[in-house]
Amino acid sequence: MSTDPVFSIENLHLRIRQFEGEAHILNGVNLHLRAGERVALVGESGCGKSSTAMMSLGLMEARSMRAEGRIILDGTDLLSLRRRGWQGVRGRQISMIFQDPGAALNPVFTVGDQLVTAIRRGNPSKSRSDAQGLATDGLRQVHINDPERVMSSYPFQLSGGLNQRVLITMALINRPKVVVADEPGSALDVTVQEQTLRLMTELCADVDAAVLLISHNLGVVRRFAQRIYVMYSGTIVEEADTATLFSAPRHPYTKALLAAVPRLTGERLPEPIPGRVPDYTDPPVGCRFRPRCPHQRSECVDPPFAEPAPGHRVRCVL
Amino acid sequence: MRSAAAAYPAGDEVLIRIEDLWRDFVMRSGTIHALAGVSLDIRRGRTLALVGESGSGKTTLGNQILGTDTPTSGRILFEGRDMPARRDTQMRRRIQVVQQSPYTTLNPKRTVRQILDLPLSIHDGGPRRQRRERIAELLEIVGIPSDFMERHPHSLSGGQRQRVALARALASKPDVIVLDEPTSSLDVSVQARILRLLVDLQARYGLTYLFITHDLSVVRNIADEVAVLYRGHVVEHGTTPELFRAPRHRYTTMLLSSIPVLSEEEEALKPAWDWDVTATAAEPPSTGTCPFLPRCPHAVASCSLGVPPRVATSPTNWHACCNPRPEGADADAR
Amino acid sequence: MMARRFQSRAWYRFSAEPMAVLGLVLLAAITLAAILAPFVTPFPEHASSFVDFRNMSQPPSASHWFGTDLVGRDVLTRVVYGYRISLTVGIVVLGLAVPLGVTLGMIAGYAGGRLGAVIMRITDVFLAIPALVLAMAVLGVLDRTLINGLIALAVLWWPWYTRMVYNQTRAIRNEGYVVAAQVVGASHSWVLFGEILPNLVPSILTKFTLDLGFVILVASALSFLGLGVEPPTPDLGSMVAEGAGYLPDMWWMPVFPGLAILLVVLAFNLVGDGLRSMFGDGM
Repeated sequence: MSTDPVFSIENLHLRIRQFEGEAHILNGVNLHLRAGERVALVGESGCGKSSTAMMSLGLMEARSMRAEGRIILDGTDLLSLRRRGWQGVRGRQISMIFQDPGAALNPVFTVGDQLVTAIRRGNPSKSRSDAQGLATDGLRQVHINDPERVMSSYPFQLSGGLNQRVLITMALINRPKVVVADEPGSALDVTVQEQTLRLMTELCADVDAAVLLISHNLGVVRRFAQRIYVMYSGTIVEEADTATLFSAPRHPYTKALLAAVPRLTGERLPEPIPGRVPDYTDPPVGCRFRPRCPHQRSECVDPPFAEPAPGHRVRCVL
Repeated sequence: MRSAAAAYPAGDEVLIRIEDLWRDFVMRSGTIHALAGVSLDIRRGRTLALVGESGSGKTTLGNQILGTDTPTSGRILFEGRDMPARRDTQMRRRIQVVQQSPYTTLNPKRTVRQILDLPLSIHDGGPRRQRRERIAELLEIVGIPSDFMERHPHSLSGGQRQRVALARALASKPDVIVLDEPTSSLDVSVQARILRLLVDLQARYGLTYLFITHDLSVVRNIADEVAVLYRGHVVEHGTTPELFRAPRHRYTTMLLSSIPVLSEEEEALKPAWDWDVTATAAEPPSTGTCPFLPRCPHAVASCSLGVPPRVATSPTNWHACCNPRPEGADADAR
Repeated sequence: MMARRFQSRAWYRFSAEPMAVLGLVLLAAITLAAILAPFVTPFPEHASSFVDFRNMSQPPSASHWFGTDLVGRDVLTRVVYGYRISLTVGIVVLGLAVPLGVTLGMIAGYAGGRLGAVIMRITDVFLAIPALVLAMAVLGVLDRTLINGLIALAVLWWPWYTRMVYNQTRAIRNEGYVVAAQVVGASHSWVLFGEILPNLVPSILTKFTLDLGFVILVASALSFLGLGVEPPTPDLGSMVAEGAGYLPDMWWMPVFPGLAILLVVLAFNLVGDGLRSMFGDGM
């Protein structure tokens, strides 16, 4: 495993003009993935994690949008790409696994057709039969025993779990360097979700793809990722390896989030976080968690990134 | 939860009894048994959790209790009396619902006051002024500022909408509330607040909850009893601590072992499960066998002979598995 | 306070479409001119049986901007008065068709089953007959009066609303708030008119606006075929029909009323599209 990042987001800002005023959705996001690394971006709804994912794949388009910063994949700044430039990148060097497999697959084409199209989009020189062989192998790799039947089926004829496997196959078929997975399997059941996470771990190791897992579920994140970024209101507030984050969280928001999850020990009810997520058009100055934080003080206006241990970074004065 | 039960002298009184309930949906591809002979008791003042994957029939069962759907066969008894297919206003008053999606549960075109006024005007909430006072009281109970009364749902957060939905359910002073995934669309920080509110309300009003969910960590903290559904069958049922400590049915075992948790301490509480030999199985089971048979790595010959009978493991718990996970299996499986 | 905030947000979205605002301005101008016709037209007396043979068939000039017709009446005046008839026709026709169509559609969508099927098959029969043929058939049976013309158009229009409302009601009837109202014990009529109908208003209003333009167009077509308003009442469709015989020499006689029809239909369409984007694409 190399130590140079294969993918990095540097000081990403995103502003969108709305009726209420200009919303500052992403406020200086920094993150990186090393080759083959499994990283998670975790946060509650509206924290900007999905915007980060969409920006990473150039899927965010709005007339009234303004983006600053850099998103670097293998030396190329993706933020500077126009529509044409994306063609060689999306689906080939970086791909995505969506939350709801039923919605992400096209209902009017067979699974086989969609896989072959994906393969030939990434590799136009491949013949149709070669691509078909590749697709069959891909489906076998996700432990589908009868790939021929699945290939000739339409997505609605397959179960959610099978469709999820098809999506994973599709995302990895061109051996991308980076896969962004937005809440994979969370639309399905816990047992299917568990199997999905297992498969993703296995396959990404096989093709040496780095994964950025987007999730709101701390348990899922702990289960899957090696390193975690915690996001709150458009800012990364804490970054650490998985064991450290769960055993020694530093940021008050991370701590509050961990306390809010119901535990299997069943000893007591989870603790709510007081207050509400701030308004993006008029966010608090400095640390955006300050109004809800039990430890707020005057220095919170411009908190630095502290590094209590190598690789463990916290945006908090504590 | 215990305190709620203690508020009722007869804590183990059966409020709702479900007897051999079937609900068939006739599709072009054949008949689907959404409920295949479900029998369950719901005790007054307690919380019964219905867990299972989507398509297990848990929402269908909730709809039978609510009377928004009618069973193909079987009976539902309320306080020992048959519930009619067409519920009268009195029966409607006594069983209420909180739904999953905060975005569709409130009519976007009506104000909070209008939404809460509907149950009050149907169930004799008195003249207009009195109803208005009651609405203010209901909002206070669920922790919504009373100046939200003239607001429309679109200006409320997800958590606030679920509180209003809860206030609507409480308005008719019900005995039972069917909670159909009431927190699964909410963030954890908001979920924690709603769960606390639900527990408070139960203690305060002696409410009986039918809690439908797929989140087993929530179940562990809020339910007195659990019924595990798989494809229309209750495969295991019992008190929460016992069921989580020693799951017996193989499906329950698989379900519990897939819970994503946050600590090693919790990890140790999960049963072991061998995922490598588990089929994803899209095949529907043939009727007259164990419903879990196509996916089960522990199947034995008797599994295909018929729907496995109930086996009691304690006065409160039972399962329907031919080759159950041995008791105390954790030690040797790890 | 919140209501005002919502309205201004709606206006924000509407006004983001410059063409919709243009449509609204056009519509306001047309409506105002029609209402105030006696005061804004140069020759209000030309609206009825008026004859001035000295000024017959004059081309557009400073005193008669749109020229004069065969009996010397000012075309501009008659176009503005024609709008009065057109707008009245549109509103009366849809005023009959919309409540009928919406009610039937809601009942069919909510009840489903046999009742729903019967209502929708009847609707389909009406939808299957070409609109103009149906209207001409009605007018063939009844006397050719303005009132009967309006009835004919209403008979033609309600099924479209039934079809649209039926589909939307089917989608809404399983929404959480509808189920919640049933669980609470609300009556069917409350669920239909209290819970479902308010949510149909945006799409009904949008279709209503678009349709006003089409009704005016079809009414003009009927007049053009001689099945509409009796002379001497100024009607845009009959004016085009009458004037068409004198093309190309006296082009102003059909062209200006024709353009007037075009303008009002266009205005209604622009506003309708604006409403559609304002309410979201829930059509």
